[in-house]
Amino acid sequence: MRDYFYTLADKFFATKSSEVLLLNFDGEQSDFCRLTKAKIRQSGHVNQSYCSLKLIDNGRQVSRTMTCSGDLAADLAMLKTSVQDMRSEISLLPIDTYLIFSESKARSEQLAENRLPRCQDVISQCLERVADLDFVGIYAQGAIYKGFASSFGQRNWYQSFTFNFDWSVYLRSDKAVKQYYAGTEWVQETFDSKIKEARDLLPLLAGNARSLKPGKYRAFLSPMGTQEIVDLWNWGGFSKKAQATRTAPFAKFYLGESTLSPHFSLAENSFGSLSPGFNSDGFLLPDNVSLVENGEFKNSLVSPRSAQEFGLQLNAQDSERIVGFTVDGGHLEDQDILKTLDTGLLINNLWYLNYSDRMAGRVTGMTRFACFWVEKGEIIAPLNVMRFDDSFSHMLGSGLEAVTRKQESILDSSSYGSRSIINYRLPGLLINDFQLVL
Amino acid sequence: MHSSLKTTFFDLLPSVHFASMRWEHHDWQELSIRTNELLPVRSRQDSGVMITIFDKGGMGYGSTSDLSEKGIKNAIDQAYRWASLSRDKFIFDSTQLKMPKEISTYQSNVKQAWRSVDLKTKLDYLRSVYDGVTDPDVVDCQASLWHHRLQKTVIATNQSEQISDYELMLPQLSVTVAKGSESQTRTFGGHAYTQQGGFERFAELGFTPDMAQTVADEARELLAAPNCPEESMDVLVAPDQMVLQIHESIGHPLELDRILGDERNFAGTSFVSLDMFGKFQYGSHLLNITYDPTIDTQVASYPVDDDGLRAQKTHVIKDGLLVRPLGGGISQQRAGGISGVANSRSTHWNRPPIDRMANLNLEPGDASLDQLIGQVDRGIYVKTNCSWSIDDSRNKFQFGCEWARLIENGELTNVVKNPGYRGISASFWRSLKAVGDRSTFEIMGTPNCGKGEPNQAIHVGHASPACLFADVQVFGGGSLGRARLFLYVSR
Repeated sequence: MRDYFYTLADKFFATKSSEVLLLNFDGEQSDFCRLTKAKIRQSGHVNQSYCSLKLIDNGRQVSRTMTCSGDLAADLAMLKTSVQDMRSEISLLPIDTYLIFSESKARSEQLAENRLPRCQDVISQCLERVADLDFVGIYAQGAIYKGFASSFGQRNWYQSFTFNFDWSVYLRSDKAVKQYYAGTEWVQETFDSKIKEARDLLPLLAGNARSLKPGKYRAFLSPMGTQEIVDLWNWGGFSKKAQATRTAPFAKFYLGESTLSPHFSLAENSFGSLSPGFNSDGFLLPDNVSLVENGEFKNSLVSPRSAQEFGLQLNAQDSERIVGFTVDGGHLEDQDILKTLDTGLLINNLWYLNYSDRMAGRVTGMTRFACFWVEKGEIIAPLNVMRFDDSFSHMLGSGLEAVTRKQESILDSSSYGSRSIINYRLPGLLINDFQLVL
Repeated sequence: MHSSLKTTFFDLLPSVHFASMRWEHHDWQELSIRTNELLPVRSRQDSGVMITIFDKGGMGYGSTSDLSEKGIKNAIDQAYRWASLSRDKFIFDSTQLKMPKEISTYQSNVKQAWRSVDLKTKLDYLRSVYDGVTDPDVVDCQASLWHHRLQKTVIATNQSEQISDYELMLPQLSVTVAKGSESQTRTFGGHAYTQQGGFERFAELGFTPDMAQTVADEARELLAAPNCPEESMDVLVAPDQMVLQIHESIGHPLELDRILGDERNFAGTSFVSLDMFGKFQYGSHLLNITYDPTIDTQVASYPVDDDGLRAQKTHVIKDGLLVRPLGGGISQQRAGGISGVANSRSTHWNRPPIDRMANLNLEPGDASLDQLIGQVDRGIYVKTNCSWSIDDSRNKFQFGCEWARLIENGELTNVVKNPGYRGISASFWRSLKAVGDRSTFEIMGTPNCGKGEPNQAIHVGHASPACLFADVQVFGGGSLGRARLFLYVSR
């Protein structure tokens, strides 16, 4: 695909003009196998390619995204037709005050090697191993491509070959163990060991489930619970534009009127090859942007447009959202989690978080999957789903008692429109006075 | 769809039990002004096909944006590969599958097509609405016009053929005012004004400069208002919040694929089980919920779903009694032949159809808005969803709204900010004590209902009158130190 894209760009930009043209490529070739009750529900293959063309002329810009076929001649003709249409549109547009684009000629490539297994082998082997379980989930694997080219001569290419298996093993009704396995190279033993863990956990879900009265409890959030918290905060929380227009959540924090626990640090981190190091305007991005450092607000995410508007150094994708999350590990060892929790909730997953009061950073959501009531360091009973209503300032601030030393690597399994490349390195969090309300 | 695609498909297709090809072409465009600047104009043109094969008990799909003969051949090969692989591993015996044969054509009722209006006219209109906001305290204002045209053709080996041409519109306005560390945002119905139709729908919906100034006035009023009180009281819910209430606590739990367990790893399961249909009292006798594909301006009106099942209006809940699930033909057959609705829909050519809500509406009652307000001793009137959360069985919910006014002794009194309420679906709908009449009824819809693995976000429609609920746990914003806990007994 890289050669196709470079050739397409070279041919398209061959005709010199005073205009600036930026070309992005997004493609994937993915297999998806959806499973329910240890059987296949829907399975298939997706081959999709998109070219996004930006035309810039006399301080104006207009963009168009189109599907492409992979056939050079056909796609080149489509781009040429599109740019003609866009020329007629751009003259109707006002000058864009915050227009910015890269005039670099830099070239970069992130070329991951394809070590993926045959999808059918994975599915066959895995279904054999879980045939006796109520197993439900999605297996996805394949290539993801992203490219950038400009009429200045810049060329950037990113390709990854990943698999992402996201599943649950159900015992009954809503009692289940949620697991995932993602990466670039399939190791059957790793999957098998996770299934053994699930089998070991299932008996713990078999007891009478406990419902807790609303109130404050000690709680341990697994890294997947931490993921839900930082995902919600990432919904505008670090965006420079959102902060400047006072639509970002948890205003007191970015206004400097509130701090979090010194145990809590959060950064955007490109993790080497896991995220593309360029954005859709062709700007190269820093490897690391510290957002929260030892509980204090450090930086916002600044897109090229915000950089122009607010006179700042750009450091982010257009969306001003984190793509590679890192929450620093702390000192709590995995083997000490239950002992340190002592009595409270062991929360493996949270679900459907949203704001109770967006500006105050007050957050509600549900517990989900394998969550347990723990007494004196021993798992006593599974929990029925509980609603919490707490806040960033408490969960990540005054109530944050400890952070696990170990961080877990998570590849986002979401696939709205295309397979996500968002990734995480997250620890678990021990929280005091976690507030349940329903 | 070009006729050559149809020919290519049938020419290259091997002999199989059943196969279909769904071709889609999407045109999107969004025009936005934010903080007085026109944002970069972006449009998207997106074409592709999905080929689905059921054969010898298996099922597979292949989808591609490569519409050449080679691309179609590859997609067929991929679909056949997966159909073969899943042959002895499929969730049901697809050799018994009966796919309906339907021939249909459909076109949105459009007076003024988006493409027929020149860009300058659209931008001038958008600017006129944006300029309706003149308040100097406004720190953020964004006005947008969103358009989506979807042309779709589905053909199948059983001679089914559906040709559709949809136009969807969504006007949006968001205004934020701030003071100190606090800000308040008021919008034009959130995302709930998604409609089927042409450019004319924007003005028909009231997307005007006067509306923009009203939205700004309400945002400023909220900033000066006290927090919503925390207590159990009556809640009168406006249609632009009822949309979410219906969606989350009736629509999702009644989706048949959830009940069958397909969504348990992602969107969740359901507190509803198959044995509850025809027996379970879902709400008070005032609750009447219909699946209605017949309202021409509503976003999910269509004659036939993506699996070829004919769509017709039918009750899902009648006089409070649960009648039927929201499940398409395949789910109905998997569930032993239970009657469902024609709601097997995909969001895009690269995703397979699954059970969706389509248009799910609450039928009007007989009370005017004044009559609804007049019967409340103490309560709140809430408008416009801004926060939504519900458990994976679709029972314990918590919703937040942008705006509320207290109702005291049968009259609207003070505006209060950050209103929210919590409840449990199975009991909440039984507390429905009055339903607004047709004068309070609004046809709405949302463009982004997320579900499925791989994930799909699709437009769904909801229409509702204002509804009054008794004894609901209501709360306001602010720090948790002031928040009281509700002594609810969990199930």
